[in-house]
Amino acid sequence: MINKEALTVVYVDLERLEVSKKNHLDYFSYIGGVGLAYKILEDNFERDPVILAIGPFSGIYPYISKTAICFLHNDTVKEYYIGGKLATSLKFAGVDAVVFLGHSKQKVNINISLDEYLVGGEETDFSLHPESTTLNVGEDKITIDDYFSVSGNLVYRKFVEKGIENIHIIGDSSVEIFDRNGYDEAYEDLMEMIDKIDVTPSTFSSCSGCPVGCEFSNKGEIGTSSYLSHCLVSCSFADKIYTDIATVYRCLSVLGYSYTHEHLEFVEGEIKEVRENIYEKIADSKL
Amino acid sequence: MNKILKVTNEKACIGCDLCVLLSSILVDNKLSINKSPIDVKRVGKGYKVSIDPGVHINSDKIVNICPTGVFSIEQDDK
Repeated sequence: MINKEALTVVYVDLERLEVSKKNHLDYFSYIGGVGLAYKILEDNFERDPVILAIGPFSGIYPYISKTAICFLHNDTVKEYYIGGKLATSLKFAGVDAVVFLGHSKQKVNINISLDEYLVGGEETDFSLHPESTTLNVGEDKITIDDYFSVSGNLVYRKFVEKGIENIHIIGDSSVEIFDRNGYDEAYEDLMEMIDKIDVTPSTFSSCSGCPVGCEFSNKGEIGTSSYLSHCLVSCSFADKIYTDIATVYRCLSVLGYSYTHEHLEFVEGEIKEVRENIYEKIADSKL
Repeated sequence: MNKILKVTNEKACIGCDLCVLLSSILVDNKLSINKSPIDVKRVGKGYKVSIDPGVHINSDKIVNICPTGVFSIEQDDK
């Protein structure tokens, strides 16, 4: 199931231990990933949000392998990108972004699937799905499935501050493809572009959706090199492919999305505006 | 004799999931990870790759999409 008119956001209120879901028509123009995360950050600024966000190609096209993690730290917007199976699992859980609001006094676990959300502490009965993907907040770092992580310890400290222990994502839905022939052709063309990937293929564990198996897959990425590719949340080594507007437009069209070529050209300006709004809020909060 | 997809080099799997996604759309015409006939699970530092025995997949596409040669098409012994 792909929602082609709205982006689906799951709100996890860590103070009230409540979870809700909202389909946002108003967020659709931000596409996903860093664009969507910035907009959510702006709209929930007062509650110190941490946002996980994927894009329209997650789980669907190759080299789209990361999940954006955005939050505020020392009056700065921070963007990290983590690999593994998280993005694919979120896509098949029908979620474009998960937002963690406020802080929990106790350590909590969170389960997210297509129709069921659960947040709670030790007293909560979590029956863990065998096919779930787990983001674990461990002793000194966060990991996806015990391997994929991000550099430094800032993300780790933020999740600890929030009171999050584990996030389990169960990707139990299916996705229908709007134009199957067009999709197959676009997919094959993308696979043939593997020589445009700026990293040497190897045999390390690979992120879901990436056939490269590079040595950096478990290190994540920091910062945003291109707004378009980071709205899609591709691996930055695939920037040569996913910064090409014609390629992105074609891939979106065969999935049935209505984004125009012009929109893809100008989305960066729209996202920069949101970023400026966030910094204005930071400045106002100092007054 | 029928030919069938088999896991013949599991140790080479890097967990990219391309086979999982492709097999789901070949069999069910939809992309899926949990409902796919191929399952790839991280076990320790490697991966366990299994094919649903109830689903007959005879497709070079799966063999070709795997970057590390985990699969081959062989004679079905049954």
